[in-house]
Amino acid sequence: MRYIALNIRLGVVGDKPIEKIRQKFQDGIIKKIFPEVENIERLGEQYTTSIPYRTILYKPQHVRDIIKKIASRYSDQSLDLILLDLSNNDCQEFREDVFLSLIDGVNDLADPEENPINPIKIFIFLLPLMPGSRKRNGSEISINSSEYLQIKNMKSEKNTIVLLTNDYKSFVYGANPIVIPDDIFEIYHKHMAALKENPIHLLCEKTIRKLGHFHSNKKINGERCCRPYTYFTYDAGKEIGELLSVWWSKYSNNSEYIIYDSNNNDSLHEAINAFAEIEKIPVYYIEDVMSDNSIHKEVTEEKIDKTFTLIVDAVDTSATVTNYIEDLVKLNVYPNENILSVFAPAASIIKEISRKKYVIHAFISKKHEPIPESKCPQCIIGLPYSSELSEDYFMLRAYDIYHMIDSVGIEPEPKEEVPETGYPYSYIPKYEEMIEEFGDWLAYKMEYYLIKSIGIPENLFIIHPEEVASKALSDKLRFRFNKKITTVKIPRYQITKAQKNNNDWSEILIEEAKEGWVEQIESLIDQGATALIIDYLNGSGKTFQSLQKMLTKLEIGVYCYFPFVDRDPGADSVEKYPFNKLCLYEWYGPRQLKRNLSNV
Amino acid sequence: MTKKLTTKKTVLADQLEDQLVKLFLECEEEPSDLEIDLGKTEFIEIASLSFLISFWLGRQIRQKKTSFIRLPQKQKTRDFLKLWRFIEALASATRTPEQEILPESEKAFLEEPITTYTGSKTGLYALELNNSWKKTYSGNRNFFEFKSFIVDDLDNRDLFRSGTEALPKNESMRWQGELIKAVLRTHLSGGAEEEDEVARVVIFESLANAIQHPAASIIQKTSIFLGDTKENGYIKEGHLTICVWDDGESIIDTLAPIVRSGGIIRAYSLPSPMYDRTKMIVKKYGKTEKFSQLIRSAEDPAQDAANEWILLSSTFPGLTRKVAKNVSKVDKLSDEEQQDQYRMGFGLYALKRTVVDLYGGSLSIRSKNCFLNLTLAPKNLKVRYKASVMLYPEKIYPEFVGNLIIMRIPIKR
Repeated sequence: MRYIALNIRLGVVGDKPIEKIRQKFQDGIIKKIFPEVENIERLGEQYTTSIPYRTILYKPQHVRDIIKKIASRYSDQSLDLILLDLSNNDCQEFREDVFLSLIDGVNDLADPEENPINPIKIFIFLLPLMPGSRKRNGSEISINSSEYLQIKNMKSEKNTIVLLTNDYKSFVYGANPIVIPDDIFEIYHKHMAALKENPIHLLCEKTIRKLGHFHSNKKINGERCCRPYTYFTYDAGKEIGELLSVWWSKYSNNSEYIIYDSNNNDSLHEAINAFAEIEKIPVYYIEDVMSDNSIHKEVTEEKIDKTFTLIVDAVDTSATVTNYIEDLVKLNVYPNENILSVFAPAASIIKEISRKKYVIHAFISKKHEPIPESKCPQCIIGLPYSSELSEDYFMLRAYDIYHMIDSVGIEPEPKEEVPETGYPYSYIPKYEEMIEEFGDWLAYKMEYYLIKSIGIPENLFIIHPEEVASKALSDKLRFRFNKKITTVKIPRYQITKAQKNNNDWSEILIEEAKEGWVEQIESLIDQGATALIIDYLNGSGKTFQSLQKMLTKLEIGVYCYFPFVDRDPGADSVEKYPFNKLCLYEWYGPRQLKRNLSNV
Repeated sequence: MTKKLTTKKTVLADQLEDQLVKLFLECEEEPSDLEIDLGKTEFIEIASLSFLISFWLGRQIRQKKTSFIRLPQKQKTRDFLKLWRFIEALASATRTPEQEILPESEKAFLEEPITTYTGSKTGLYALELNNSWKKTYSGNRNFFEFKSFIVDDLDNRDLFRSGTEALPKNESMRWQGELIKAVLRTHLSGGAEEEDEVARVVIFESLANAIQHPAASIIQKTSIFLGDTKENGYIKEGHLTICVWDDGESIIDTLAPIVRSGGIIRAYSLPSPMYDRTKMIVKKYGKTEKFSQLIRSAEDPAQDAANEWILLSSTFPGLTRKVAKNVSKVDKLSDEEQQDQYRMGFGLYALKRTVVDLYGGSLSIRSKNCFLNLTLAPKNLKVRYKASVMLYPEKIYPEFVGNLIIMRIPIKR
């Protein structure tokens, strides 16, 4: 039996290699369904098939052509089965039109009139969790979505459709009575478990340490303090909600309501209220309870003798929590001895308040490192305080870059990363370490700058030289896009080769046609994709120019060039960089170019 | 000619329109100056606010003046208008500064504190007023508030900005947030865990439809959860209402020329279970008699089909317009692709299947002189859907500007 697996990614431009774990999972599914078949051969398709958002929105019927186009590559081979793995998408990305077009494509492949040489007989769809599919145990996934009606009414005499959903349900429609073994979902279950990330790890990944000059509640020897960092979470309602649910079952002590403060954390506001809504637990904002409105009256009159749990977004010195508990106790309401904070200096802190012992639990322990004002370098040089809630500037402050350099140190510029056209810098900051340590915030700032200045298009992909620091930056940036963005890494030696040939990429693209990066870039050509070229450092613009020439040759649009640090922000910058150019820090000092190559 | 309209204690969209039609017909022409007194109003249906915005804009286009004499005097109603950002929405649609919309006596309205909403106790209240919201947040203070989206200028589009085309996706993602999903799960009458359909179909398709209406320059979306209410001694079932309005060409006007010329508007031939029968009951404004007609969704509207049939047909599977001109944001598509993109039309069909069939709610469309309300038909009609149509007068009373889609999903009791 010979089969191909189409790994379909919805809403992105550009293909990416299929992970080994996914290939193994798909092979396992086929073997499980056809245990009696001895020789099962998987053909080709090492890359995912992407269907851009614009296609989904404007021309979903083209999905049919995409499916047919891929299958046509195998028209001269005997192919028995096509596996369409859609399980790696969110159900929200399934517009009904897309599903219908997929089914049309499949119908065409099965139809001897449309596909006379090699009509395909069996199709296996791996689906994500679809709305309405979870509660039903009958013969249908959903009676409401037209896509399923369409599947049921396919030309079933010619082919067989197997649907497997990742909530462990299977359905078979069509000509052959394929029996799906009950234990097939063991494979599915294992695969899903392997992919599922721990919420605390995800929360840590979504926690950003922001540099700046912040007030601290702490006093050292009576002196006010400052903080060089603050922490915040971004889009982490789901993760905080999952952790809150587990915490509540252990530590709520039968609390009957929640009082919370979420001054700087919208994710916490979202998570607490969602959790309380599902669990039917009343939840009150602390300011309402302490004010003179109806909520204050309700809590003080109706909740007497009932225990509540206090939840806050961050604890630094515990002073605010102490004040809250003291004030609430005065209202004759009863706090649970366990208090929850998303951030605190330690995982648990024991605190005596109003002669009672409380434990402050934290999901993430982060110390704020307060510095007395008299010793705070930022106070000494008179820097203004930073905003906790928003970015004060698009770019970094000089203090920030020097603070980061001070943390990671400097080194001679790695020779292998120096363009052939120029001389290395004697010393540069250890960018790789810098991005590893501060990259979450740097990526957040890059995204913020793009959104607020030139906007972010839907059809975006990232491209950069294949170098460690640039890769670290693109990894951090990918997380800003929930990992749903294609990144193409161009080997430095290929850039050098092109530069020596006046940035003519024609031969390279032909010679390296089977290399992953070329296949990836070619998958972007007909997708109306636009490139975000990034780099950790721009010395002379030569790397940018070379990448831009390649993209222009392939008729792929360039949306923006965004080096982290720009050493070439000179007067001729506009002519040299005919596209949007942004950076997080401008540091004048262009790379010295070799004379004989400077015109390249 | 100056005329005054005093709204009732309860303002519903059809009743408000009824008041306006009567006023216009009495005058025998459109008043040049219309003063609206909302002072006595205690309850305003959200759809009537979207209607009022379109009505106000239409008068502005026809160079007629509309103004408020008073806003509602009841604090809860004032807070509702403020929290839902109605004045800002009206200002955005009419490109008029907010202060110019308010009468002298109401200038302080925008600065008044909100006192009757607290944001505490339940998830729904927390959605209506996010206590931790700050002006610097990019999110909304009230999840359901009026949101105005300016459609990209066709002549000055930036190829690289996502702009209008990202709207269905972004709004759909917003409705996938943890809190709104929790509230949908606990409130909607659909089956457990079917809340995802609201974002996937209802929000996405209603906005995908709006952004492709020719000549649209603004799209507004608002929504509200409303519990059971008592009306004339009867309990009226609570709903989640979502309204999407655009100021583009009416759905009827985009489809009618093709129908009238005998053009093909059906892109697909689908399996028979995807087609249904609808009993359409049409009433002309001011007349008591009603006309009913049985319509099969497998049949295209006849060349001489009435406007209401054409409007109803926009909810049929696979049916759409092929007008390839002047549709927003189709950058980078070739001419051939531009033709292709109008071949499929499942958006409003999917919307109908979800709102009406899955949730047992209603889908209403206000377009041109038609108001169409689509629900599941009672069993005695022996068809799947019942479409109630009100045809407003075509003379004196002006045509509706744009398209307003009102989706009402019942909430659990």
